[in-house]
Formats: sequence, structure tokens, C-alpha cells
Amino acid sequence: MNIIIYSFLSFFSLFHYLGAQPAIYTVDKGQVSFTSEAPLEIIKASSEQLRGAINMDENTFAFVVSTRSFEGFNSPLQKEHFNEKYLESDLYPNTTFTGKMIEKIDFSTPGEYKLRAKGTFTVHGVAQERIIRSTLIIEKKKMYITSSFSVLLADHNISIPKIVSQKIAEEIQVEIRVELEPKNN
Amino acid sequence: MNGDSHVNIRVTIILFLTLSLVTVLKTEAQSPQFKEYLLQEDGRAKLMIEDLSGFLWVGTFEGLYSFDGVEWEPYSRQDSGKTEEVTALFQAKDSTIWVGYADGKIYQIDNNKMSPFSPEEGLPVVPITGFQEDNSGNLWFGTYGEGVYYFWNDRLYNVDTDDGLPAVDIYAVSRDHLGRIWVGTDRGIGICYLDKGTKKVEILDTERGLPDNIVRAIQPAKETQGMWIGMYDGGVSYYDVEKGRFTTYAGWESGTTNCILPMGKSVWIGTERNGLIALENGLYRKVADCKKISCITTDREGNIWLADQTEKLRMSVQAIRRIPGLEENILSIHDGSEGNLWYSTEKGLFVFNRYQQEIKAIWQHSLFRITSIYEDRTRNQLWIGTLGEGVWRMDLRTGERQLFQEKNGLVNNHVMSIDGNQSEIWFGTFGGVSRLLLNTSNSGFENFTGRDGLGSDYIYKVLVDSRGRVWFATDGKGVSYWENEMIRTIDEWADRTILSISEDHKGTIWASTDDGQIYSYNDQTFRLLKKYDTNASMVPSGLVSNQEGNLVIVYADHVDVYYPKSEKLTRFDENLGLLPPGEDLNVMDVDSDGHIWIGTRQGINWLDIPSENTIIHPTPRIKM
Repeated sequence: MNIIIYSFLSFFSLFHYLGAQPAIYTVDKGQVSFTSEAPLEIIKASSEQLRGAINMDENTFAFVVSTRSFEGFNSPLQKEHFNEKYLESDLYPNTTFTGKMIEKIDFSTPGEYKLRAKGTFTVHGVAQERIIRSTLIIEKKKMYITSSFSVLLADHNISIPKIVSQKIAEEIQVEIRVELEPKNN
Repeated sequence: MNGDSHVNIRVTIILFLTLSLVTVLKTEAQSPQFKEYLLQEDGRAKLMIEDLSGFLWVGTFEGLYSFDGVEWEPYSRQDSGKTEEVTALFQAKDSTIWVGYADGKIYQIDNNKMSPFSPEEGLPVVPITGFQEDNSGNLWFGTYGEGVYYFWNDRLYNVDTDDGLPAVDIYAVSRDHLGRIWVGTDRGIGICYLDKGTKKVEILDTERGLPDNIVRAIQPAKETQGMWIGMYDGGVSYYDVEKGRFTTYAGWESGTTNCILPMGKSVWIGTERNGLIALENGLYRKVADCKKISCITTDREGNIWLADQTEKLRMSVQAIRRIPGLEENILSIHDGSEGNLWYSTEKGLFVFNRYQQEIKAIWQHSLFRITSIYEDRTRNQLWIGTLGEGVWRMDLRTGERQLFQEKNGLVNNHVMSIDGNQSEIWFGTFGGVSRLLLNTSNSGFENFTGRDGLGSDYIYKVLVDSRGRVWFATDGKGVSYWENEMIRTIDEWADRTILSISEDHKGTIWASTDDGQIYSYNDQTFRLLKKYDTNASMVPSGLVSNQEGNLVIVYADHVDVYYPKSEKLTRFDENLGLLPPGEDLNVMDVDSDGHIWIGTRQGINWLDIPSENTIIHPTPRIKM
């Protein structure tokens, strides 16, 4: 996990160190929400603390969200179980997705683009390579990204006690909405 | 030997020295013949596969079609995509047909129903260039621009340069015997596989012995565990997967390779500009002229199909080839030693060496017609029978020739057939038969005619069988044979004209008659081949048995192959690329590899008799 965070931080610091004029957009507003739709219960939670950036020159990106920042759930106890039992948020405080965009986007041209982000998605300390489809809208000084994808709990060694298996889905639906701005030097 | 013979020798030596400024014509390998199938709706074919049911799937610039041998059925995308251009086709083990398009879309066809492949991860936006399946049944596909993808545990994963792939423009996707996926790129070969769920990539490039980094085609070898690799301008190479060693082949001058098809001992190579090339015995040879071959594949019948980006598909029946560039009227044929096929035309005597693929003019003239040839392998002599001029004996080491005619004791100067063994040579003529004993001091001819018990003096064919008996096919008097220094006749055939006679691997004698019937004779038992009982309108001009005992029966316009075990009959005709043999008698022979050579008025057919279960004619199939 430390390596991932280090990578994420170095994503910014390298350009700063070099003193270049990086074509970097950072997250101004970022929301992650997830839905667990199990036979006996639907659980929804979201976080407004998604942070990250896109390097347009390199076609790369890095996003991170604090696991503890998710709000919602159907009860405080459910949130506590989410952090303490399932996600083990003290051990694995962040969820990250770093990688590159497969499509070569012309960021200088406003418009709507479909793109796929290929990268390493890390939840609960378990990294999985993922390709995630997204929609990118480029405006003059803003970019917007929306995306939805699924996460299999088993892929990330998140084990659910059998007693609540009817209340928590094995596959969680995730949605992301991000607003990015050019990074100020 | 008299004085005339000495004169003849002198003349022939001069002739030989003059004419044995032997013309050598380097020809191509026996050239396959192609039948053309016009695509429906003027599509231009790019690639094709045959599915497990025997249907041909053809990807064109304009869409996907299936072909049942007669009808074309279009398969259109349901998403009104930007293009219908098919760029990849593959059938998985579970029979699913995978179709890749130029815009990156992928469709799958199950039970003739076409549906889009829509993984959560989305699909490439660049052309799909090939599919494969690894040993675990995971689907892999290459793209031109995004590297390789694989579908594992219901997720789509990408392999690109970050993962160690040499480059992301994939030209070819193949699989080795270990189930690893080989992809050809501009920077060498990437060998991709999953190791406990983790993707791995190994590279083969020029630093590791690959002759050319731009790899356009990869195919597993048929008979070994190696891989054949077709390159941009390096021809093809073979890679021994176990030993990690390349074998390269010098002499490639045919430009860019687009596709390859390993074919047992040879590899067929489809090129961008130089047609179809074969790599045989380590040498490249041009096989056919085509414009831009983008796909070569084989079907269950063993036929070869070519797509050359035109509105036609080309299908070659592997069983039939011909000697390219040879379009003469062939008068006689004889299989000699060391791969030599002796043949005569109205221009003289020639030899085609099937190993070296060379035609040599041995004796060019138009003075007389050479009607029979026999090579005495023990003495390195060639006997050349003529129509009206007797028989020549040529020493194959010196080229010295000697003429034997009636005046030298030959029974007749019209020599229609010659056969022999290590101790004697028999000459069938229009005036009886002559025998020449080879191991005695008496070098003269012994002659036999009707007065000696021969049914007729007109002999169409002489056959020395494996038991030392000599068979004579006669005009109007059936078959006579020589055994224990006596000529005998077979009463059952006594009133028939026998045009040809042959022995199979079991010692059965086969004979064809001028009323179209085929008989067998074995241990005093006669049998009429019933399949030919009603074929009186067709008269075989020759017959011969191959090594497996299958009988090849030659007619003026086609060839039948009779399989005695199953009593099955397969016909080869012009539709399959056969040159019509014509009506000349017995212009055929079988070589040491069991291939049949048939002379025609336009050249020589080469027939590789397929097994009896092989379906030669593409047969229509019905979709369930």
C-alpha cells in the first residue's frame, strides 16, 4: 500500500521537481459511490473525498480515496463493520487506481470521449489490474469524468460472514464522478 | 552388332553432343490448380476459417459470410457500426465463432446466432487482428494499436508495452503446444501466458536470433512442436520451442509475408505482392500468382483456400498439381530413378526432376514420336521406344545412344510399351513382342508373335509383374502372359481388346478394355468391377495402381480413383483443376512416392491420391 501511495505522490512531485509545465489536471470535486444490491438488503455509501490527477502528456492518471471517508450505509453499525471487519480501514486506509488511458485523447479539443483506463485498482490492500470504461467531457478549463464498474469482493480478499451473505452482494457496483481543473503551479 | 550400329553410334554421339547442350528449365514446384468461388455481393475476401461443422466463414471488407459449398449467407452486425470490415475470425473449442472488426468490435456466433461481445471493460477502438484460446480456454485477442487482451474470470485484461510486450501493433496471433499465445509485432514476438493468474510476457526478437523483427504471421508447425514465423522481409523461419533455436532459410526475394500455412513438409507463404510461395526442402519456390494474399487456410477435405482481397476465393485441391510452364502434348511418361520423370513430347525427350524441380531437354527433335520410355536402373540406360523408328538405348552416364530396329532383330519398329526387370527387358510393338536378356552373352532380341501363342501382334501394354510374369495387353485377343518360358492366354478375356494393364500391391492384375470395363485377375479368379459394368460409353485410356492398392483409372476427360477396400469411387476432373488426360493410351506412371503422373495434351497432371475418407469435392452442408 505504501508503494502505491508513494507512486501516487510522486506523480505530482516529479513534475514539481523538474519545474516543467506539466499538462496536469487535478480533481477539484470527486465523488465515489457504491451500491451493494443483495437479496435482503441494498446498501449505498459514497465519499466526496476522491482525489487524483491526470497527466495529459503521459496519458496517465492516479486516483485515491480514503476508505474511512465513505458515508451513508443503512446504519452506523453497518459503517463500522465496513471499516473494521470488511475493508479493515486502519490497515488499508486508501483505495487507489493508478495507470494509463488506453485511448489517446486529444485533450486540447473540447468534446465528449469514451475512454478506457487500464491500471491497478487496489482495495483492501489487494491490487488487481482493471480496465475501467469512462466518459470524459473536455471543456475549456474543466474536465469531467464519469464511470461505473463492478468490484468483486473476492478479488480483493474481502470476506463476508455467511450470516450476512444475503445482505451484502458479492459484486459491488461503483460509480465515479470527477471534476478536474488544470493544476496550479 | 553390325556396321549400321556403329554408324548409328557415331551419329548419336554427335547428336547428343550437339543437343546435350541440355536446356535446363528451372521450374516451380508441381503447381496446384485453383478453382474460383465468386463471393456474393461483390465482397472482397480478407480471411476465412472452416468451422467444426465444415462451413467456411469468410471475412470481407464488406462483412461476414458463411459458405456451405453452394450458398453464401451474410451475417451483419446489429449495432450499425462504422464498418463491417472483418479483421479476425476464430472458432473456439466450444464451437463459438469469434468475429473481430476493424473498429474494434467483437461478435460471437453460437448456434448461428450473432451477438456482440460486451465485457464490462469495453472493447478496443482499433482493429482486432486475431484470436486464440489458451489451454484453459481463456480467449485472447490481438489488436492493431492496443496490444493484446485476454478474457479471464469474466474480466478483460490488457497486455501492452508496460507489461513487457514488444509493441502494441499486433499483426498475428497464434498458440504454441504449451498453450502460450504468440503475437507478432513490429518489434519481435511476444509470448504471452498466465502463470497462476499473473500475466507473463517473453520476447523473441533479433537479439535472440529472429531474422526480422517485423513479424506478420505465426503458425504452429504441423508435425513438430515448433512455430513457423513469417516476416516483413525475412521470409519465414522455424523456431524450435524446446531447444530455443531458429532455423532460417536463405534466398527469400518475395517481399512481405502476409500469412503462412504449414503443410507437413512444406510451408505455404502468402505474400503482399508476389503471390503464393512454398518453402520446400529448405528452398523457396513460387507456387501461384495472386495479387495480395491475406489468408491461407485448409479445409477438412484437405483443400487449400486463398483469400487475396478480391471478390473471389480460390480453392486448390491438394491432390492435383501440374508441372508449371509445361503445356506440351505428352506422348509418354516413365518414372525413373533419383526423382527423374522421363517424358516425351512432339519436340523430343525431356526429364523433370521432382526433387530439384527442374526440366531438362535431353533430346530435342521432331523426327519421330517417342511412344514409350523405360529406365534400366541397374545399367543406367534409358530405352526410348518410337513409332516407326524402333527403339533407342541411351547410356545415361555418357549420353551415347544406340538405335535398334527390325534390321537389328527387333520384332517391329512401332514400340508402344517397354517394361523390364534386372534380367530382361520386354518391348511391346505393333508386330509382337521382343525380349532382351540382360545377363547373358547373347545380346540379341527374342521375338514372339501370334505364331508363338501371343493372342495378337498388336500390343498396347507390356507389364512385368512382381513375380516375374510378363503381361501383354493385346488388340482383340485379350491378355497373354509369359510364365516359365511360355506364352499363355487367358481364355476369359480372349475376345477382348485390352488397352491397359497394371498390378497392385497384392499382386492382383487389373485390366481395362475398349468397352469400358475393368477386370481383376488373381489366383485364377476373374472379377468384373461392377461399378464399371455399365460404363461402356467411357473407355479408360490407362490404369495404374498406387502403393496402397488404389486403382487410378484414366479417361479422356477425368480420372477415377477406385478404392478396393471400400469400393468407393472418387472422380477428379477439370472442376478440380485436372488437365483432361486425352485419349492417348497409357501415358501415365506411378512414382516411388506413390504419386501418379498423367500426361495430357497440355502438360502433366500430378495426382496425390487422398485417403478414401477424404471428401474431394466441397460438399454442401446444412445448418441445424
